[in-house]
Amino acid sequence: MRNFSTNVVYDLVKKNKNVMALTADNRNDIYDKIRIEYPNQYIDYGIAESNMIASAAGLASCGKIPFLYTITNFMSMRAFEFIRNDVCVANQNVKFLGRSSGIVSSSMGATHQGTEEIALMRCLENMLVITPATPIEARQATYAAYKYNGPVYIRLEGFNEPELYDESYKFEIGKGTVIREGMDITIISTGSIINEAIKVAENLKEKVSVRIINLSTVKPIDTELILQAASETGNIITLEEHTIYGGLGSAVSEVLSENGCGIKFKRMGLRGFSKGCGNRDEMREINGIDCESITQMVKALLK
Amino acid sequence: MNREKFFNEVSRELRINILQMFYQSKTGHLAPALSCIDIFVVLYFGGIVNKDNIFNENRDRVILSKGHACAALYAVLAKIGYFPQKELLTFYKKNTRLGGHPNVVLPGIETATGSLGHGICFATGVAKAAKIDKKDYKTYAIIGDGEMQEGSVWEAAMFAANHHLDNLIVILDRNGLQASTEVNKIANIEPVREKWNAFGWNVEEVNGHNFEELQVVLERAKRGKQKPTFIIANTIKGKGLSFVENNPEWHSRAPKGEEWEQVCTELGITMRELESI
Repeated sequence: MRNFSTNVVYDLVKKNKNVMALTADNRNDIYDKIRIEYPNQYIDYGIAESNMIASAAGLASCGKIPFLYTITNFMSMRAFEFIRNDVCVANQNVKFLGRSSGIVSSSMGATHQGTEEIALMRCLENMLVITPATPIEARQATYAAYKYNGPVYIRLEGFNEPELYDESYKFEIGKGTVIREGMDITIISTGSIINEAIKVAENLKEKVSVRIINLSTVKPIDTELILQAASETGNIITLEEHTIYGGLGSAVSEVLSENGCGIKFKRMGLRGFSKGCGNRDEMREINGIDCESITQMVKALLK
Repeated sequence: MNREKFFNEVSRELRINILQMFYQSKTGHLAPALSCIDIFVVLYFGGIVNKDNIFNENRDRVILSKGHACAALYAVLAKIGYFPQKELLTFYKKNTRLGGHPNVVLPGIETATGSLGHGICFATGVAKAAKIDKKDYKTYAIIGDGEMQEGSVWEAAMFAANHHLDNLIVILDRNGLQASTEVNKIANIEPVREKWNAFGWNVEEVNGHNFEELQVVLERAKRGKQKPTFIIANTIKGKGLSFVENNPEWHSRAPKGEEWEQVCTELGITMRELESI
């Protein structure tokens, strides 16, 4: 997913001299290629995220389109107020590619796992929030961010997330997609954790008809698709590799409650910092967002 | 008119404008504005900043990193004609464009400042963009000495020197006081000159109320090569009103009651003149 997104930045740098690739000592192979081939469009700010963000706003005020790529926590959390004041207040055209979002950093520990940044980015005026589920979606979301004039946060996880789309997929900011039809319950998911939901639907298919929605844009949210699911399937579970406080689950519950949907509803995700160590599958299991935990929740909700 | 006399008159006129604003608002950061107004006088009226091309992409950029001193900048921008001088009287009032900290809604404001340690970082991006696009505009950022306690100032300091941003000129309004007391009683920022030198900057020092000194140093800074320039402007917080000068109590307050009569006496104006522009 990361490389699909940053490859777009490489293409854009080639195409438009105002596109810039910025990092804070967190280059990947593709950013390194930009550094070598297009040194005028590449800046490594060093381990100094606050300056990078305000400086990016300064560049944007002069017509540049900076794409910031680094570990999400150091950008979206450590330097949050710089995103708020320097980028969002004046609606500067700065794009944030937050890598290692979710619990993809597995054994790296809580300091390196981005588990609150959807909530942080979502509450900022002018900021759009996109959580791609797959590599192709990450690629298209990065293009869409380029075409949109204003700040965009794209939540990038890791490598080798399974692909759900083919090249005919057309990502659109603010639109979710139904990945699987179903009539008994809907799982609304954001990010690659959707693959756990797909396993659940497959395992339960003889008994329960599970609809799965990929809500990759958390802001602006696809109200219509959520309300349609509420009316057609009733029961809704939200699923995210992020705290349930302020993220996708909160966003969906806002839509449901403000539209008077008296349905059964549960948020699944983390309840704080990620717990434990392990690979990504093990981390999902430890933190109660794996296939088995979701299956139990579906059964409990339908009881 | 000789230059010194011209600067003195502009400076006095702008100080009156600032007090006229505070007479209406009854609140705000008065002493910080009086401490840096003379720097602005030379920047904008000494031919340093190209002030006529506000929407031109080659305009010089002025960023007030110590945003709470915005009354000084507002008075200057109004005098230049970026907006009507009468609008100064809306300072802090309902629906004004002249809030307690600068915002981009007002012509001449490049970015919203007020949270310290931001404007100087923003300025590095503006200066870097000029280098990339081979434009010859200059970027000026005015920071406070209390502001130097913010870590991001030093991130910007490293970046600007590393990228040889000789088109970036940072002016330190060193009045020695921050919100609660003397800067060096809270977290000592000295030695300022040695620190910025060590970070790779060209460092100058002037009396921040001496127009001639400011003029000479700013003109030299514009011709800087290889290194960004850091100008230490030694100032007096509250300069121009004897009872405000160097008194930490005046960081964020406006005169009240009988103090207004003293303001008028010291500025040589009548109460009537204080009331309207």
